[in-house]
Amino acid sequence: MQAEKFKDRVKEILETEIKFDGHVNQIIGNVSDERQNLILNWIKDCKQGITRPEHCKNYKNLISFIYKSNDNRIRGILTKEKNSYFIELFLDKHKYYDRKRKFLGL
Amino acid sequence: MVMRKLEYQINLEHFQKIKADIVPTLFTEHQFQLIKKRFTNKTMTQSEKNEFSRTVSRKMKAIYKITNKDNIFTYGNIKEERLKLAKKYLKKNSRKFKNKHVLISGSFLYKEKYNDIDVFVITKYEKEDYKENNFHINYLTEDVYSSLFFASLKKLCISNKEIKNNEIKEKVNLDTFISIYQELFNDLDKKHPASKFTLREFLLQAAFLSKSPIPNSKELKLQLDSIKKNKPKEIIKKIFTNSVLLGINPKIATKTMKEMINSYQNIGKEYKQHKNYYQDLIQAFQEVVAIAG
Repeated sequence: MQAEKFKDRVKEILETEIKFDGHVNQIIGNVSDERQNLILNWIKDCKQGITRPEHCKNYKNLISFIYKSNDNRIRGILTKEKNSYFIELFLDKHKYYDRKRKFLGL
Repeated sequence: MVMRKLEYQINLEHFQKIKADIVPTLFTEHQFQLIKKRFTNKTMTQSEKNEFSRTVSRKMKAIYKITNKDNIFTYGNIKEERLKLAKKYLKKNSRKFKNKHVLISGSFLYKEKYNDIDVFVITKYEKEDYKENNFHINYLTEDVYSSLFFASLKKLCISNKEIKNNEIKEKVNLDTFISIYQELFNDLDKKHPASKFTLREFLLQAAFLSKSPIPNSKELKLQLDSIKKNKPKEIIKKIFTNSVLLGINPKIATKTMKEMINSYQNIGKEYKQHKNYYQDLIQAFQEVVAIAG
């Protein structure tokens, strides 16, 4: 699936417009359909409350869901406002994920 | 003109002591001062740089070749029968990664059974690590020298350069420690394969915050195995509490822990299905408040 189609699927699942951050196009363009589906399943789990959110220390009104691929190469952070809507999906490699975590205070 | 990295190292203190033996036999007074300047990272004029690379550096390389100095530095307690092999592998990899700082570390140096041989190459730019035969080649950028990871790595390794005592400049504080604690708790709960890396980072930060000696790779591995064998979450909660109590101002620790407890209790209201998990996670925060508050 192309990156743009993947983004549309994410918005469909979350039933909202969200922002994308990180090298999403590159990450999605370089992984198999199977892996793309794993990420989409994780998004579904976040939406359904199966995945656990964490507290963002630097943005007290936000919570975040964390994704780590099994081989530890892809990391994701889905941000949501407390008791409200999803805001942003971040997908990238380890290094950028660490920066994003620090930025959010995760 | 950018000065290239040198293939040799000089112990300046020793160099100064033997001055009478080498000036003027090997170097002129001026050249001697140039070498001192170069190894103390003082700014050199263009003509000094030219003279250094055209005359002094060439002479130094020749001296190194005559003395057959192998430029191998060992740190920590390396298994005797592995040392010879490790030196051979270091030489091989130093030839492969020319003019780069190369180190070998990990279980190969101290354990009978090992998965692969960890080779670390310091480079200017980030590159993907890869495996080649028995070797796991890990590229690290130069900022690693001031990291906790390197402070641990350098305690048990074999290196083609002398390792200086670099100050740890990596930001490690209560915020980073809470962050790694949350991530580790989550990894352990999900039994994620990356939990061993997160646990290693957590233990290094815990040692640093509580002002304990930074463990070397062997000590870290022993701690890791022992934690995994027992009840990991219970142990890391205790390590978290102890490190915060030992390393953080009690007022700041109490205030931050109270904020964390409140936030997680609020999240627990929205996500009732995960309430037990959050209760478990904040136990360590509550313990800090109970003791420091």
